[in-house]
Amino acid sequence: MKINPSSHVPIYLQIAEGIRAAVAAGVYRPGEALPSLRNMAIQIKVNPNTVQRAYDELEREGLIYAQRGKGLFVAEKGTASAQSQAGDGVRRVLDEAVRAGQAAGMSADQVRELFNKAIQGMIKIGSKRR
Amino acid sequence: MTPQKDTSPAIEIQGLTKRFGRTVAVDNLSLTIPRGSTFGLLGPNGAGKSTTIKILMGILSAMAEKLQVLGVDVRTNPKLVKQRVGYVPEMHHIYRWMRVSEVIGFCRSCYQPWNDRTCRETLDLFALDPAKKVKHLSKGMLAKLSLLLAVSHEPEMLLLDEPLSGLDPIVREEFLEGVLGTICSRGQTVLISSHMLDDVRRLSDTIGILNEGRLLVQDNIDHLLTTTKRICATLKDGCRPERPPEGTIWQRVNGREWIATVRDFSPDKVQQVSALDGVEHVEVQDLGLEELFKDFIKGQRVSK
Amino acid sequence: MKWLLWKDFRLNWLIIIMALFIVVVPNLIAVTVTCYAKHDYHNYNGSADFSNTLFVSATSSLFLSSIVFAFMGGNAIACERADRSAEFLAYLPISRGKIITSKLLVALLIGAFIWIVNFSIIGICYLAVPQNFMQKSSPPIGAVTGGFLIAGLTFFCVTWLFSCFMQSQAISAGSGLFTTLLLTYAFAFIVHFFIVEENITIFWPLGLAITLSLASLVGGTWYYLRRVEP
Repeated sequence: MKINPSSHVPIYLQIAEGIRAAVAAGVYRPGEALPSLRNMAIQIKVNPNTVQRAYDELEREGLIYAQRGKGLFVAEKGTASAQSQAGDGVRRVLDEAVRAGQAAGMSADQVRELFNKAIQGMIKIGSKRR
Repeated sequence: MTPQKDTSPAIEIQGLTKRFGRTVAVDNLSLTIPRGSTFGLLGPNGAGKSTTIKILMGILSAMAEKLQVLGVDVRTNPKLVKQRVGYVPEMHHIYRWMRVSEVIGFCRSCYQPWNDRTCRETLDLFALDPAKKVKHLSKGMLAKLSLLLAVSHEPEMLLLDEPLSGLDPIVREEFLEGVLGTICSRGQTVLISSHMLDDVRRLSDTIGILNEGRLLVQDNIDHLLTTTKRICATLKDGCRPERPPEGTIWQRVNGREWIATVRDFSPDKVQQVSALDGVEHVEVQDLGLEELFKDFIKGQRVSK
Repeated sequence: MKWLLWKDFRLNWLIIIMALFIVVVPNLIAVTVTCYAKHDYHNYNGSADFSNTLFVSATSSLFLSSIVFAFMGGNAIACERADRSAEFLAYLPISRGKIITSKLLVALLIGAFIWIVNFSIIGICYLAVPQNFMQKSSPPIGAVTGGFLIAGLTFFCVTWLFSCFMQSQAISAGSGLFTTLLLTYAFAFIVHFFIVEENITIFWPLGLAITLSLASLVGGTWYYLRRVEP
């Protein structure tokens, strides 16, 4: 999980996003435990309070749940929910790209052409999941 | 009279002023830091960060209305403050002729309590050779030794004065891990002064920006970053910007481009700017910590 | 306290070596020379010669020790400022009182070593051949040896005062020595011109030395205890 401290996005949201992506990609499967607060904080070099906030956010979403004394676990429908959330993340990036294109004075067709080229690039690289 | 140890703020400064001859290093500073938080004190070189921290540790004299650390007045009882605070200075002046084991033994005799287990574990974690003399330690190892001494006596608060300056990336990571480890175990308050903004962003919940001895802003990091934005406006030919929106901390005009960094951002402020006669196009940008920091400093310099 | 004392002994390692040197070497030379003389000279007078030479060496040692005391005083606090280790000591929870006590104790122990060894030698010489010393003209041995003791003490106290203010051991020692000698000469000058010959007694220089020592020691210590900066 890569945290970008230079970004304006709050770190706890970046962490939440990172965990969602990890769940969507199958790094953490439903029923499996997430790293403890301490381990996660030290691993990604972030204040434990911030990690706690990220965990709280994900718990609120229903992606993870707490088991008393045992820690936090990925929920059963975690993967599906994570993938849809990941979709929101991609949408945000696309919105930014469209804004950038607009600022540069490009037309909708020009932006669409660039987007198609990008999709072709993704298919070339290939992905195990469609 | 027993001070309310659990509820009093970790640090309470009111009206702190410190002069070195004619230079004012700290100018009527007031700052309150609650317990349990990690506070990042940011500022350019010479802003007064180190001076403030040394004053809090009772090793520099100063004038202040109130100067309390963990509920204790530093001026009347500095020994108690030093007992309860773990301090890592910017420059390490540990006796160069002592060996690491001797330094630990010396410090151990000064502090009550001293956690031998924490000391041993940290010694292993940092891979410090107990038989090595301090003068043979590299800068990174010295910083780690300082941190070891600071955490081994189970302080209620850590004061870190530019602890990462001059350290290579690997040592910086080890140091951060050491600090995070102790925050996780003991939940203590941490004040870290630095201009390594990325590391401060990772570690802190709250930041304060100091410049020329004055506190420009103190706020929760996330709140500050989400409520401070840059309004970029394109001006019509020959037009000059009128009054900037409320809460502008810094603005600049570059040809047709008018950029204003605004606190407590709201869409109304964008409307305000759009509605101005000379403005053609308006855009809003988010700021990272580095840009926000620079804008605050530049804004204060301009306003002088 | 044990660690503080150990630290202060280590900081004074050079002073300790100097002290050992000025205690051992003159007396050793005296013994060696006398033993050599026993073999070579025909008018060797047994123990009397030993007591003579050892008395000279012990008093020389006391004379030299006044310089050691000056260095010791100058080194006391300024040495930690010179390499800035005072800043490290400053953020440890040790009271200034304890820090100063440790330094004074170490100085006392080194001083006591020098004095006890030399005074013991002088005492033994006197007891062994008392008539030797009865013949000596003024000043009496008590005054001479006592004089060196007071001089050493005064040098220590005045250099200690400078050490409390300054950042360099060498400059503290030098300034302290210079100030003491300057004040002594000035005082002697004044006494010579303003006090009648008959009224000049041992108590004038003694009074000056004791006043100067006390004032410097107390003044320096009080300043150091009150100062916030290391």
